[in-house]
Amino acid sequence: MAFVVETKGIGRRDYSENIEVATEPFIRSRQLRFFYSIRYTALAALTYPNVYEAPLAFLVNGQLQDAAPSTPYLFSFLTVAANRNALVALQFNRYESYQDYLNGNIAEVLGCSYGYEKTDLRFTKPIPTREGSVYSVYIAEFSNLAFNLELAIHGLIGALETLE
Amino acid sequence: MSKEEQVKVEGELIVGDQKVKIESQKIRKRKMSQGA
Repeated sequence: MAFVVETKGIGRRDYSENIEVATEPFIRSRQLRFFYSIRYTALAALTYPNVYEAPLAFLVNGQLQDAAPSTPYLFSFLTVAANRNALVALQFNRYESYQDYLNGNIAEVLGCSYGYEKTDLRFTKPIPTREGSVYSVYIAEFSNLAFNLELAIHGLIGALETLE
Repeated sequence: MSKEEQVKVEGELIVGDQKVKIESQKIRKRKMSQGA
């Protein structure tokens, strides 16, 4: 909706009056933040290239579900940390369906990272989920010992704001 | 198909001002993707 500045007097138009109203952004959508964190304890030892895969959950009407909802989750940061200086791995995956997830038919590897004690994936342009897709992470610590891991994921929910 | 394993976890999903606790999760063993 265009804001019309009322004209007063003669000469050059003065837009300084009510300018704060004229430039007020009109927010068409509202975003929520999401924060997902899981602490795994005493997972059985792994050797490369074996990893554990955990599906990510989405909150819809107070219930957790595996399939991405119609309102997209925008993933911007994923991190995994161990409690000792060992090689850790993190991979972020998308599947077309839950059946594909069960069968291990990855549609897209959205990111993969290794590090000692800690590693993360940062997306400067957040990755939006597709409705119905299933998302998972591969997590591992390659120390040949039982291990603990902390996984944390941050992002936003909803369409990007449109300013007018 | 790899075997599914139910593990106890301490977790939560926070969306806005809603918080849901996650106390267990089904995980499975996989192999890291080729070339990753």
